[in-house]
Amino acid sequence: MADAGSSTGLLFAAGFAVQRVVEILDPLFDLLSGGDARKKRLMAGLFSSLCGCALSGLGNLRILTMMNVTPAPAEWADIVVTGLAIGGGTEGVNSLLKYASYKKDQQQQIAQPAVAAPRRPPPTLEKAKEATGARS
Amino acid sequence: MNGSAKVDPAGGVPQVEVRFGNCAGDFQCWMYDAAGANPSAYAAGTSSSKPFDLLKPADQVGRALYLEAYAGHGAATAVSISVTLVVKQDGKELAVMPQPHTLGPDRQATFSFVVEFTK
Repeated sequence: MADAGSSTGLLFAAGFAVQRVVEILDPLFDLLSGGDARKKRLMAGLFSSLCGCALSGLGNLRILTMMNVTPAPAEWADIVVTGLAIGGGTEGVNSLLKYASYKKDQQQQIAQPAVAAPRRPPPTLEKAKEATGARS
Repeated sequence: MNGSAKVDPAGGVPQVEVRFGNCAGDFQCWMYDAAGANPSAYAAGTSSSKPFDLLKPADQVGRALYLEAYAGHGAATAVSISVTLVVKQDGKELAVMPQPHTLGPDRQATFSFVVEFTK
């Protein structure tokens, strides 16, 4: 699988591409649904989700793997979730990535100690002289 | 950063000032005994604290202090900050020890100093 940075870019590109294709095919969906708005929405939704799943499977894009979901999901489940996110267009991908970022921040906060370690000086002047300086 | 300050035994009580440049934070200071061991907590403060007094000149000479300052900024970009330790006696600056440091966005840094007092 591509690294996290390029995968994020690919997900957005895939979501945008599917969104554009659905927009281009809009008149066709109109025609096939006979003007029924609910039918049209269903058709467009199914089409974009299938396109998303195809792009996920062929492009090796796995959003759950990117999010380090534990336990590791089955590959087909990852493809379906990624496909649905891509099918939702850039908005769908954006929502999932925001959630992933939120979870990552939360995990980092948990990893930090609740109480700062007590500050201690070096035991001798000689050691203190060696330890001075600025560090971040 | 290590430095020394020449104290006038006949002068007033020396003082230490910790100046935070472009940042905020706090500090702690420990004093070593005459043998350069057994550090004991001596003073603590923040970036808005006033200078603190050291021991009387006769007692301060021959000893050293270790000061750690913890400074940070909340900017979203890298910022050049500094912490400067100043030793004063009777309004005269005996030692000025500036320590600049460039910090990444929203980060903290530790600055440490040793000052030895001589006569």
